[in-house]
Parts: sequence; C-alpha cells; structure tokens
Amino acid sequence: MLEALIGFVALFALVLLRVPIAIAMIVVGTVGFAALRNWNAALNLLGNAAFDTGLSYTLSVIPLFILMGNLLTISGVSQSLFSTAHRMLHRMRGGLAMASIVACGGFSAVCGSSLATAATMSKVAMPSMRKAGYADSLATGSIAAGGTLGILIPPSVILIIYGLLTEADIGKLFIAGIIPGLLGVLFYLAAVYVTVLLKPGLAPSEHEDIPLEKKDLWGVLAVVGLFAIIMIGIYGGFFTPTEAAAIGAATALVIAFASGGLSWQRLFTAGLNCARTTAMIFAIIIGAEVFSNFISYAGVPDALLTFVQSLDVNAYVVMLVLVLIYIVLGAVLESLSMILLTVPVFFPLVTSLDFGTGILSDPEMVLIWFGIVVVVVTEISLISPPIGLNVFVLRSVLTDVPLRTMFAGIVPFWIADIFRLALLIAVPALSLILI
Amino acid sequence: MTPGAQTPAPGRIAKIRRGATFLLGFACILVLAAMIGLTCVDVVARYVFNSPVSGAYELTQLLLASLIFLALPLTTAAGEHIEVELLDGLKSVLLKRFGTIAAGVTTVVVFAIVAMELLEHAEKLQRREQVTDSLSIPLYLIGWLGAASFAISAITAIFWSLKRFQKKA
Repeated sequence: MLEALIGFVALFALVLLRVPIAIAMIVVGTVGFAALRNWNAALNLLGNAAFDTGLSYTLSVIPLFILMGNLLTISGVSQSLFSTAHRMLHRMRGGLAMASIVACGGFSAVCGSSLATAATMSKVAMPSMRKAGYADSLATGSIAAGGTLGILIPPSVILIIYGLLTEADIGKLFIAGIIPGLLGVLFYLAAVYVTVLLKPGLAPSEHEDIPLEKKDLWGVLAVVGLFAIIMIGIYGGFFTPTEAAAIGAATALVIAFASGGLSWQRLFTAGLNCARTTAMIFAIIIGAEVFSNFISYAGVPDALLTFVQSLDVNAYVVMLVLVLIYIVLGAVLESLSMILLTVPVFFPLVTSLDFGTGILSDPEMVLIWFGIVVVVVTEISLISPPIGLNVFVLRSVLTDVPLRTMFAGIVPFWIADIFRLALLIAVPALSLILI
Repeated sequence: MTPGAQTPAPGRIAKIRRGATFLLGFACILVLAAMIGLTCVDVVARYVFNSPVSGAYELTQLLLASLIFLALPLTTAAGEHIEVELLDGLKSVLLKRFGTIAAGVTTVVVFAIVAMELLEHAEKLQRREQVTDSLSIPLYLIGWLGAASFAISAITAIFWSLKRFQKKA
C-alpha cells in the first residue's frame, strides 16, 4: 500500500513538471512494478502494453467516431443546428445562449468528444452572440458547458473506454446516456433562464429573426438520421459499435461531400487530426494500463474493497464519497486519465455494493449506472477550474476573452450539473429505463 | 546561427521533417480509409450476400495498431500529448526551466525504452513464428512498426523539447 501511495505522489509531481500524463504514468507504473517485483518483469509488461493496446477490435471505434465528428465539422451541420435552434428560441431573453446549448446537444449526438463539440460550436455560436450583444461570460459559459454533453450523449469516446475497462456492454452504455444527456440540455437551459432572470444585463431580450435555408433543414435531418442509424444499428444488434462507427464515418463523408465544403486539403486535415488525436488517446491508454498494473499488483483495489466492507455503511453513502473524490480529482487531473486511473480501482467496489432490491439489484445495471455517473462527474471536471479542459479549448479559439471571465460564466452551469448529478444518483432509473 | 554553405543542416533537417510528416500523414489516411472501407464492405457482404469478409476482425485490429504507431510521431511533433499546466502561473524562471528539461528528458528516455522493448517483443514473436489466426499475418511486423514509431517519436521529442526550451528562455 505504501508503494502505491508513493506512486500517486510521484505521478502528481511529474505531472506538475509538465511531463505529458501518458509518459508520467508509464514512468511511475514501470518503476513501481520493478520495485515490487523486478525490472525484467516491469519492462516486459511495458513492452506488452505498448504492443497489445492497439491490437483491439473494440477500440477501433475511437478513430472512426473521431473521424465522423471531424468530417461533420467540415460539412457545416453545426451551423445548421445553431441556425435552427436560433429560429426556435430567438424570442426568449438569452435565446442565443439557449440555442448554443441545444445545438451543442445536437452535435453531441454525432460527435463523441466534448472538446471537439466545444471547439466546433464556439466557431459557430460565438460570433452570433457577440453581434447580438451578449456578455462574454454567459456566451462562453454556455458553449463550454454545452460542449461537455459530447461525452454523455452517444456516441461517446469516454463511454467506450469505460466499457473497455469494466467489460460493460458499450451499446447499453450508449442507450443509458440518452436521457441523462437530454436532462443535461434541460438543466443548462434552466441555468441560462435563471441567470438572465437575475442579471438581465447579460443578454438582450430580443433578437432578429433569421430565415432558415433549405441547407439548414438538410443539416438537421442529416444529424438526426446519422444518430438514428448508429443507435438503431447498435441497439438492434445489427452492427457492432465498430461497424456503426465505420458506417457513420462513411455517411459523414457523403454528408460533407454533399455540403460542398469538402476539398482534398480539408479531407487530408480531417484525417490527419483524427490520426493524431487517436495516437494521443492511445498513449494515455498505454500509460494507464502500465500504471494500473502497478496499482493492482500493490493490492489497492482489494485493500479498498476490504476497507469499505469493514465500515459496513449504506451503499449510497459509499457512492456519495466516491462522487466527492471524483469532483476533487476532476479539478486537478485531466479527464481521460482520471477515468483510466480510477475506474479500475473503484468499479469492483461499486458492483459489490448492496443497493437493495430495485433496478440496482443486478450488478450489470449498477455497472452501467456507475458509468453514467462517472461520465457526468467527468463533464463537471471539464469545466471546473483550474484546468477545466473545455474552457481551455474555448480560450484557444477566443484569445481575447480572459480565463477569469470564462470561469465566472461557468458558475450557473456548474450548479446545474451538481443538481443533475444528484438527480441521476437518486433516481437510477433515469439512466437505466431505456435498456 | 549564420546562414551559409557551411550550415546546410537545418534546412536539410526541416526538409526531411516535412517529407516524413507528409508521408506518415498520408499513410495514416490510407489506413483510416482501409478501416472504413473494410468494415463497410464486411457489413454489406454479411447482410446482402450472406458472406462476411474472412479475417475482417483481425485486419481491423492490425489496422488500428498501425494507425496508432504511424500517428504517434506526428502527435509528438505537434506537441499534442496532454499535459497539465498547473504551474504555468509560476514566477520562478529557474523552476520553469528545470521543469522543461525534466519533462523533455523523461519523454525522450521513455520513448526510447519502449522502442527497445517493442523490438525485443518483435524478436520474440519472430522466433516463435506467431501469426494471426485466420490470415496468418506475422505479428512481428507490428512489433517492428511499433519500435520504429517510438524511436522516431523519441527523436522528434528531442527537437520539440529543444524548441520549447528556446522559446521559454
């Protein structure tokens, strides 16, 4: 146990020195394992992790869904989604901030990444909100928060990785994300509504109406259609998630081509970005694999399980403590690494908890519900200071808005997230009823 | 640095880098296209012609591994490995410099060690003549590709760290 503690401290120290997280996990995992056993075994494990991680059929969904999102960004469907939402909501005070959230939710249905959703929507929604006289705080807050929906509303890269770690069914995880994702949209809309009610100066009460073009309707239809193909395909058992992702990417290519925005140059860039992001994600997965090996070998999951069982407390109390740990960790750790580091330690504990007789009496259901809870906590970490990555993505696109303003704008959405999280924990059926 | 006939190296290195970046990028895109094409053909063949492509499953695995190894040097060159910038508000230039050097050296050493381990792993696979189940593709090829990928990434990381150090200093 002491070794594991030293390991965690060393990991934090390396990360603070700006060693890339993947590298830091490899260093600590390898050295730690060598200290517990020997160098030969540790280096062998490292070689195996680097070799085997990529040879995975399940994980091939990751580049395919990323490419799908990149191609749809070129196709301009994000603009169509925003224009349509603008048309529907322009009579409300703060209507464009609401439209940003709805459009983010829509884009999340075809994009598996929060960062990509935030980056894409910021280019579309921010100019309109600025022109209409929105405060920067509300405008950036709504995009950064709306963007987090990318990892909850399926497809979702994070849910795929959770499925990999816990062997939970990815199709079921995707289905479970739908209602919590829609709730996310509703809660964020409520956050905008309350914010402008309290501070009317942040947003104008009236906006000019914009005419919708045929192109916009096609764009919305394309998103709905693509989402339907993927979900029906996976849920109905017609496709594996990898097949759904490949068909999705191919369809996205056709949509991008039909939109007229596709050039060889853009196609090349979309593919290249996808490849680089994939390698970045897999470097972290390899690092986490090595680090987790060390943590498991040090006996942390077992020790934790024994410890919690010896306390003999209510299952919901344990959940509450775990969620608090996640909120704290989420503020200082990058989201993907947080999930890769914590889920292998926590999930055996969670599935061993006794939640009584209801819908949670089935351990598989507990696993899926926990997955949704983890993703929602991760969404919160993406907008929490000091390192909320979604905020930094916006900052890199909108260089003239100070970070302080952005984090101030996040506050109402952060509060909305906490309410949603509480609701999802209190009522597991919200996640599990569609399965 | 004085430009002239005696120092052609920087220009040549830049040229090599640009060429390598393009080649690797192009290879990544071909692999991505193959992944999409293969899977789509497999689905159509299964539902329409009732005869799935044999080996599609393991080909997808090999393609994914190739994609990652081909793209890793590009990710490294672009400085896209995720870092946490908690200490960026720090005033001490000395500490910042120390961090930059420590991070750079650690990254390079780790990439180099992984490259060597992958090479060793590949040799083991070659000795045991391990091949994939249905298409009998030798697995050591992936090991070689991985070793090359991490080796190139280590070299790339040297350049990238130097550049960052110069910018900071």
